[in-house]
Amino acid sequence: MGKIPGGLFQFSVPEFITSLKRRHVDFVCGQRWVENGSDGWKTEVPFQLVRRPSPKDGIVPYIPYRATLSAWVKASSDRVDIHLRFVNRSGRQLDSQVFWICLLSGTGGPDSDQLTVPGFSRETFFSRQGRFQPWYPQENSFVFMPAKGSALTQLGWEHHEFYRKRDGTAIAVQQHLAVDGVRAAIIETQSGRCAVGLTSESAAILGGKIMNPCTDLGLGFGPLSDGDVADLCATAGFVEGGLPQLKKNISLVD
Amino acid sequence: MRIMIRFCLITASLLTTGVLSSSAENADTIRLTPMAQASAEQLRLPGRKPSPYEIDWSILVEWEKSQVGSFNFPFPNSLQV
Repeated sequence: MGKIPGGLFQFSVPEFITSLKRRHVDFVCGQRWVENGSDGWKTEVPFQLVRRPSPKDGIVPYIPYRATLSAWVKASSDRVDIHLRFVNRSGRQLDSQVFWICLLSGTGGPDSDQLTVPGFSRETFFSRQGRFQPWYPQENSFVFMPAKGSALTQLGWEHHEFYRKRDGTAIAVQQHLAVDGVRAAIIETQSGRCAVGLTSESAAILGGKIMNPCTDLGLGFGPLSDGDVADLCATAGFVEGGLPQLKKNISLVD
Repeated sequence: MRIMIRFCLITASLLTTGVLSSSAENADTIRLTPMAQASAEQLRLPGRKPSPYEIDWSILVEWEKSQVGSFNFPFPNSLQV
């Protein structure tokens, strides 16, 4: 091993909550991470959002409704497993929503224009019908929400169709074939190519800015009746060998 | 064709708290640290000041931590969220 000289990635678990009803995101706050024995880290807190999403204002939390947000992260030799659990305690039904997981691999330096993972490709990738494709054309032509949300999986289209039929309106999304629940990137090192990727069977939206760069997934869940629990899992693969090896390691099977 | 994802599920063991120990011990090459508990050295690695949001939601991932020390960005001013 020893392939990444100084690679520093960041997960946002979760970064924000949104839906395909309207173009709006709410930043999540208040996570309190504690060690979970040999199984990594966990947090379990009342669900809180940021009232004023401006770094200059600091965090001003509020509770939009009663719910519990839990998360677990665990590393193994070639992957990180992420588990989110959201429990609706609001006393009412909650519509379908999306938790945003960001895998940031850049945004370093005094002007935030340097990579935190040397050799990381500015071009990143997504998958449709089992085949990896460059992300930039999708991001450039299909973006429909913040964080460059630019593609829907089958689950995402189902959320979208639900809102369109029930409410007569939903986020304006340019028609496209459903994508697979995976975002990926390659890293060129002196000793060969590596790849990272984030995948989830709960993925509804694919996103992530080329400019950062980051590779993001929006995990869809709901609707939830009072007391219902949503469990969402994602896996990030860190492999030597490029996209074919990544596909093999995180078990992307045609 | 469709994608099958085999490694999504976290086992129920994640829901139980075991004996406290370093999370790095189980990871040969990947080390996880919540940003809120990162060392000064780790926080210096991105070469910028973390945003208030990152402190709550961010998990730093060091892949091949033994070589992280070679990583050196000059210090910070802002982060675009």
